[in-house]
Amino acid sequence: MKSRRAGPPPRRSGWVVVMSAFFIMGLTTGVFKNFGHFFLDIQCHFGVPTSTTSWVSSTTIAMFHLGAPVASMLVVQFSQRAVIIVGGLLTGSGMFLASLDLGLPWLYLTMGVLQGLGISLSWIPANSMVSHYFVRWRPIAYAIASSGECVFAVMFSPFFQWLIEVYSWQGALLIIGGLQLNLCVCGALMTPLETVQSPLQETKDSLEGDATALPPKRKVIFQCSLMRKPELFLYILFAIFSAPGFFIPPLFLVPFATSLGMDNYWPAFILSILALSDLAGRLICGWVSNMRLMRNLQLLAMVVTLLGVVLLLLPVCHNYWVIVVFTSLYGFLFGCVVSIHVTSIVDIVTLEGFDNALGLFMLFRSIGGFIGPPAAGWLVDETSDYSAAFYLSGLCPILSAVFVVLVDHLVQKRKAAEAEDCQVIRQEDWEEGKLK
Amino acid sequence: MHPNAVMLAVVLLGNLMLPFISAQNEPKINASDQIILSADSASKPVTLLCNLTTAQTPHTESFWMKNGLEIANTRTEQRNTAYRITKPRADDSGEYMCVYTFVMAPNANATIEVKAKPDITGHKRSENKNEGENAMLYCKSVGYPHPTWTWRKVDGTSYTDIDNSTGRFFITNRDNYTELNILNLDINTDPGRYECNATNMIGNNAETTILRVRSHLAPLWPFLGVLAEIIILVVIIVVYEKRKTPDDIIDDDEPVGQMKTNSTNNHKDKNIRQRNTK
Repeated sequence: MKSRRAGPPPRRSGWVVVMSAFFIMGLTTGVFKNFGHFFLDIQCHFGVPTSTTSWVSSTTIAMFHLGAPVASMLVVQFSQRAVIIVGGLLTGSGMFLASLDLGLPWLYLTMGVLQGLGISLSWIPANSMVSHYFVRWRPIAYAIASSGECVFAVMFSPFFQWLIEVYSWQGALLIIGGLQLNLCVCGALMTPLETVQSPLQETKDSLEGDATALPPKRKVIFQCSLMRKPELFLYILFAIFSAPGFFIPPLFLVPFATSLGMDNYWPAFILSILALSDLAGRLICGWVSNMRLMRNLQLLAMVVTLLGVVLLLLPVCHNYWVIVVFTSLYGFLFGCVVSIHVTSIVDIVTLEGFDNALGLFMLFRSIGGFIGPPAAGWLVDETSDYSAAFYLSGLCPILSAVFVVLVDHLVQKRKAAEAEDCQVIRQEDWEEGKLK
Repeated sequence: MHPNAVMLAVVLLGNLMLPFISAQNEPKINASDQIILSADSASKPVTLLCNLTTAQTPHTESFWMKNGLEIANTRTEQRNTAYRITKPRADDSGEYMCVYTFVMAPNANATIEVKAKPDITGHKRSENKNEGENAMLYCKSVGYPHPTWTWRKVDGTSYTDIDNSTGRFFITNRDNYTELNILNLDINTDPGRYECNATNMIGNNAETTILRVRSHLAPLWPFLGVLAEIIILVVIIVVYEKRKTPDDIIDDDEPVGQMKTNSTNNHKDKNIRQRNTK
């Protein structure tokens, strides 16, 4: 069945959307991943211990996740373009105000709250836009867009170092704030889809064809009914349990490597390997998932299980090269999970509920992200061994894979049921046609 | 002979002999001469020798000390003791002492000085500070005897002494460490290369640090440049979209706001068509 939306965008502007999303993801998460460069200077400037300075990035993460449902509500109410532009203004102003250097609490407010909110208001609509614009090429489009995060994170690392050295950290924040205003430019490129509904290839939507033909469509701002769907509920559980597998290893890899006796140069190299294999994982997995060899959720379950297994095996190796191999495997699988887990949301709740579901997904994933690292840290302190952190972060994804399998099963059941209903309605129509 | 004269002679002789006798009682150590380490003899090993020649009481053991601290694993019971430095470097220089311990007498020692040119081990390659802030440049060295420090400003090949007419420069010198503090940095006169020079009787060594002073307004220019770029791009995009919109009314395939009602009607028709044909 040919999927023709009313007024589909021409192919060229679709790829403009992907490039724009690439830049948006880079200018938001890529900048955030390099916050660490500022820590030493901020710490010296205010004379506070490391834990106090790290609250800045914790606040940013918190606002990013808490802002996610807000962003998705705004996207449904207004267009993605407007929300991204607002997000861009918030991030830019956050950095600009932070550069005024009016005290440490001021930094929490600007670099933490404003920046985090702005990042979330830009990142969520970018995801949403890519998912709405593409049907057949969605996995690979999303993979290319999300690779922006890796590419920019790697590029910005030496760039930020140089900026801080030449312009001091306040000057660097000012310039980065200006660069982040480019988010508004990217947002301006995201021409909103004026079409009414999602592609007709979803049989569920074709049943509601009459409803969608009534203009104007009433947009539900926040679909609480989404939460009652068992599929989404289980997927959110997956989000919570897989989060430790994402957030814990990057924090503990470098201390683990150092504890094995490697000196300072090698552990930093491990992080670069992680970033590069992450990039490779995202692109390759996006391409594989596009080939539609198996369902997205099946692929996701496989990849998440492998991720857990790799993490469980990581503490066993003590040789440097074996650790490098395992780290690159982990990075690759991490990239795979990232590239599939957002596009899978469309399979679960269809494009209609995607925006809200994404917001909920991010919000609940943050629970795992907040509990995970401190729990791992506590385990490491209790056992005086970094392996405990990796065992924890390996077991959780394996457990979450169970939820993915359940979700897949439920989604398949639902689709089978809908296909049956569709057959019944067609039968009735045909019979009606015969009578007329 | 008068008995007083005899007693006087005995006392005088005794006094004359006393230092001789006490010298006889004091242990005598033969120690090697002072050693000067130089760059060309850096790879040749150096040996310090001590030999206990005379001692009233037998000694228990001997060990070596460097700069007042005992060196580990040097305790031995031999009279002849040697300390070997296989690859002498500047930080191997110092005041070495071989110490002999006795049961019923105080320790005896001999000092051998190992001298070398000072080697500067710690300094900042560059220091970047904002205008008006304070800068601290330092140099650390190893070597014996302890050097005297001087600071100079380097301009290419010419050296100038630091001009403290403004009273903002403070130099603190300690044995193997020196600090140059500059208060209230001036962006016009202070930036440049500063050299710390360590000199002792054997030789000297120097290292330079580059001091850069950042102006408060420096980041403003790139920021305004980026802002200009953003405004230009946004204007281009807005103009492009405004110019594209009139063309879209003709084209059926382009997604446009004005087309909304038309497209929903088509949508409905297509839907009905599909249902009826299948």
